[in-house]
Amino acid sequence: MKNYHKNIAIRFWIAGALGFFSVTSASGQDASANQTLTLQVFEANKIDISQRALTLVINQASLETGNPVEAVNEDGNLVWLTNGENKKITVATNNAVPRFLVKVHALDITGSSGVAAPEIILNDNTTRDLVVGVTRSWGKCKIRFVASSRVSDGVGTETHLISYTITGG
Amino acid sequence: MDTIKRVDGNRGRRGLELILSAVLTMLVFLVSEATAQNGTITIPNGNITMNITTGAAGSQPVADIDVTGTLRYWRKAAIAKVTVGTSCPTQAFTLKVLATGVVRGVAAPQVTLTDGMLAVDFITSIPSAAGWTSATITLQYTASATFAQGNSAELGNDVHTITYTLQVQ
Amino acid sequence: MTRSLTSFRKSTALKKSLMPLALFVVLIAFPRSVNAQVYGSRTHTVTVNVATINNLAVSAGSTSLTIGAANVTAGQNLMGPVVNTATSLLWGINSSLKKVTVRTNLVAPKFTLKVLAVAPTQGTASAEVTLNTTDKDFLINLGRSSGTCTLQYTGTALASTGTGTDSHTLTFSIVVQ
Repeated sequence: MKNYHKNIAIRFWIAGALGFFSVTSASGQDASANQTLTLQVFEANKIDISQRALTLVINQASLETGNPVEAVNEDGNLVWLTNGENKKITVATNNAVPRFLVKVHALDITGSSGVAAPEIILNDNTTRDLVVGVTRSWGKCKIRFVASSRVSDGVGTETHLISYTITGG
Repeated sequence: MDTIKRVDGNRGRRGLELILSAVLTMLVFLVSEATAQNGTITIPNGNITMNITTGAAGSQPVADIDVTGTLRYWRKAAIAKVTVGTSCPTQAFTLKVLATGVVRGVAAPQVTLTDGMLAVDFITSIPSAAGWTSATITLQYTASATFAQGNSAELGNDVHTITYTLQVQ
Repeated sequence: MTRSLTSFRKSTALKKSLMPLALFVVLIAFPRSVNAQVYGSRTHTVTVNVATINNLAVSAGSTSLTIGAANVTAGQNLMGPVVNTATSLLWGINSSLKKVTVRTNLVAPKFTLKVLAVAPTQGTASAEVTLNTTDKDFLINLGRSSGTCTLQYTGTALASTGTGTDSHTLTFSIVVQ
């Protein structure tokens, strides 16, 4: 009788051990794999103008002053993007000694994507601030050109190649 | 009459000689059998359990190879061979066997053990010439499975009852 | 000295009766060599146990994505997308109905990272996953198979977020579906 009970006990423990092992191996079989991925974002600055060419024509004179009437163009839009800090947009003409007066100004800047500098007179080829305070933003503004002349300037045609640059930081 | 008697006697003696020759031949055979061996075939190491536990992603599970089993066979009066077959009604995985370390006889190519198979040659050309009594070879079992074949937790183990037979070639 | 036909027949009959007897003696003396081809048989049991096996691996331990000036458009806040398909996932599963999930360890990533299983040789790709710390289905209906798929990572950023680096440890896991 003793041997019988002993055999039963042995079989019980063996069954228990096998069951535990089976459950453990079955539940512990889920596998996983790891991978390291690095996503790096570098500083990126981009600027574009919607109007590749425009013409300002002064062909009228004021009856009151007798001076030629200014020609204005606000058709162009400037768009930009930067993920950098403390950027600004500058403007310059390639015309070092213009005969006629040309002014440029940024209007209607979207959101808080920068602050317009005061209207700029393009009387030489110096680079001047157009929009300042551009930080981690994308923006859009209207570009307003005003061309004017004096009677003493006479008549003629001038060409400006205007460059917009997002820079600084 | 004497001649007839002698002729009849001669014929009777020839029959008796024939019987005696047969008996003597039988005795010679029995003696040679006795001096060749008393055993036939044994599997000294008993039952074997094989485990497939690991695999490779994108590949297949790693096969298990067992070389703990041995087979012993005795010299016989005639050239003999060993055949192998299996019974495994719910077979799901692959099991193969190869005789290695064969000195007495020629090992057949590795045998794929499939449930219901007819017994096939395992070792052939076992010599009958005197000079040895018995030989022991290693049973090299190779168990393999594909991922598509599943696992024992879902399908149960494959339990093969493998039979080795020593017989006249 | 003629021989009677009877005696002749008797001797012939005796010879004929002795032949089968001789043959019988031979047969009973050589039973194993003539009738029994088998000397003996032995059996033993070989048990094959196949454990539940789940294997998962990636073709490369690390990979990367970069967003720069080439991946932006003026006037838009969204930068990218940039796509990486350089690595693949490999698996081996011998049990029924499993799936692969994916998560990242990065609690608050600065930029957006998505992953998609492309061209799996087995199973069904889930919709593209935006990675966070929660396990999400990546590949489903996997069962008893060995296969691969391409890992398509897509990264995007916002200009308003600025620059920086997100370092992810992505974990792919085989779990019960």
